[in-house]
Amino acid sequence: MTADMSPHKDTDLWLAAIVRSSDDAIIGKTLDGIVTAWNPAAERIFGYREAEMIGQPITRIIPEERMGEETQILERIRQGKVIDHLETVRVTKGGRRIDVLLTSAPIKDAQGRVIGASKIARDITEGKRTAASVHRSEAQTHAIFEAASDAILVVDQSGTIISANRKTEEMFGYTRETLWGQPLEMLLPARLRSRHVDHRAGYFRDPHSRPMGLGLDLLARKSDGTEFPVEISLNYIETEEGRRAFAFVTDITQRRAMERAARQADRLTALGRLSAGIAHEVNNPIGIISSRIEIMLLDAEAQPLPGTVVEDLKVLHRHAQRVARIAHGLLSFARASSIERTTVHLDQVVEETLLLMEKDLGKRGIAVRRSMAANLPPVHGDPNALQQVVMNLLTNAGDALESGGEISISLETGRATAEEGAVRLTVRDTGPGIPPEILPRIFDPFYTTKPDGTGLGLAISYGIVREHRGTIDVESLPGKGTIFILTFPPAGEDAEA
Amino acid sequence: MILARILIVDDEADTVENCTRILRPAGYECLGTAGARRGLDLLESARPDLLLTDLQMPEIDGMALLRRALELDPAPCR
Repeated sequence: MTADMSPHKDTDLWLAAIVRSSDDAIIGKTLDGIVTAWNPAAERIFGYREAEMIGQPITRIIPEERMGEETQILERIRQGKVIDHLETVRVTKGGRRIDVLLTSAPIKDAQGRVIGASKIARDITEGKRTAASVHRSEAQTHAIFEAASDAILVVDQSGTIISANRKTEEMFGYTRETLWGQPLEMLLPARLRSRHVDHRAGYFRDPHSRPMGLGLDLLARKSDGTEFPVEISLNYIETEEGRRAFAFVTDITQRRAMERAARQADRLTALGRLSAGIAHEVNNPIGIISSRIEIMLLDAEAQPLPGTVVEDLKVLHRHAQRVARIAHGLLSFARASSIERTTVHLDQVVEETLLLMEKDLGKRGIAVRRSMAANLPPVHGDPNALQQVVMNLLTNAGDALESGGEISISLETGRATAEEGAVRLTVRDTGPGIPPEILPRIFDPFYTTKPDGTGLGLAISYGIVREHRGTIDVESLPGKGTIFILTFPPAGEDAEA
Repeated sequence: MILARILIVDDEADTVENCTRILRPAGYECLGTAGARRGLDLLESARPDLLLTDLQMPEIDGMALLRRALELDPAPCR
């Protein structure tokens, strides 16, 4: 340091340079709020030239509604206090409002008396705008998160749920408050939990985006214990608090049911073709066998045969007839023969069928309750074939009620059905129900649980209903009974097709 | 006494025989064939009172036989 250089003067130069080059507005003012200093950044930020501001009140840059704020600032300065990082609004010469961050400190004379205030103002308008846009983008992300049709769960490395969207609540039946802080495994069937803990740990060790459709049969569990099939897609992010994994969960119950129905339909179609082929080939020979036996029995009236031979012929005839019935049933199932098409009132079909069957059912201690909606739309189809369906369902219901019980048969339309204007026929019995393991097979031809059944009743009914562009479903609870639900499109719609 | 003459046509010879064995004792004269073309010849030469025919047959189908029968004797249609 050179002796002739005044350290005081040097410091002034340095300070002046700093003030001039600052990006922040640096302003000096008296305790009355009169501007005494105004640097180039203040000119840039507020739009007033230095010459325009020196000697002028600082209130020129303060918006009307914030005048009180300035009084308070000056009051604190008088008391020797600092105002640190006050976020507020000022007005530029052009009248534009800008967001500023203020720091104001008292200026003291040699005796330590406060004689004015220094004020550093930073324009944070841009920053605020960025923050607002970040906020908007976050709000958007949140809205997407909430509106997603998948359940979205965020878990930390320990497998604790830290976030879940609205769909998660709907899908699993838990409120988010219940889920937060719980292990992810609570959403799995108990038997799969320990294995999942290993999977999860493995995922966090080597995370990767995993697409859906791994072909795994994944199961999830609702709050009421119901299990349902899901597809899960995994993703992860690194955050300040550590690695986070996202699970996107899709409930595929519906899709699985549709796949099952499509498989069932395919299988029955294939079986139908095969059956029709066989039936067609069997039909003629069995017709010839049957009538030839009848001729022999007729001939035996004129030229008596030994009694045992006549008995044998009767046995042959009985069984040939049975084969003929099966062949005929198979043809109905495959609907190889064309069916009649007319306008059918299902309530009439049901009434006519009940007329044939109700007496016999009554004798066996079975009550029949009917409930038919008024103004049912007609359906398009074959009344005889439809009567066969109703008869098959009533026969089965009756057979299920060995020791008596009740059959309810009902017809509905409108809001009761999924499809607009469709007619729904339900046949419910109070029998022992169908064991779940055989439920998927009941529409198969030749599948029967009756000692003398052909296993064709439901197969034929299925074929007829399908031929009418209808659906047939079964629900059964062992011990509670069985309900068959059939729907048929209304006649008008069918005619267009 | 013969009640009527019946022509029986079916590509299944056993069916023809079945029908014949039922109808003949009942007093009908039966002409039968398992060949549809032969059936057409018999239709023209024997002029039966009744034609009993299978519909689906190789060579000629039953409907063609029926049309020919109507041409030969439109009476049933009047």
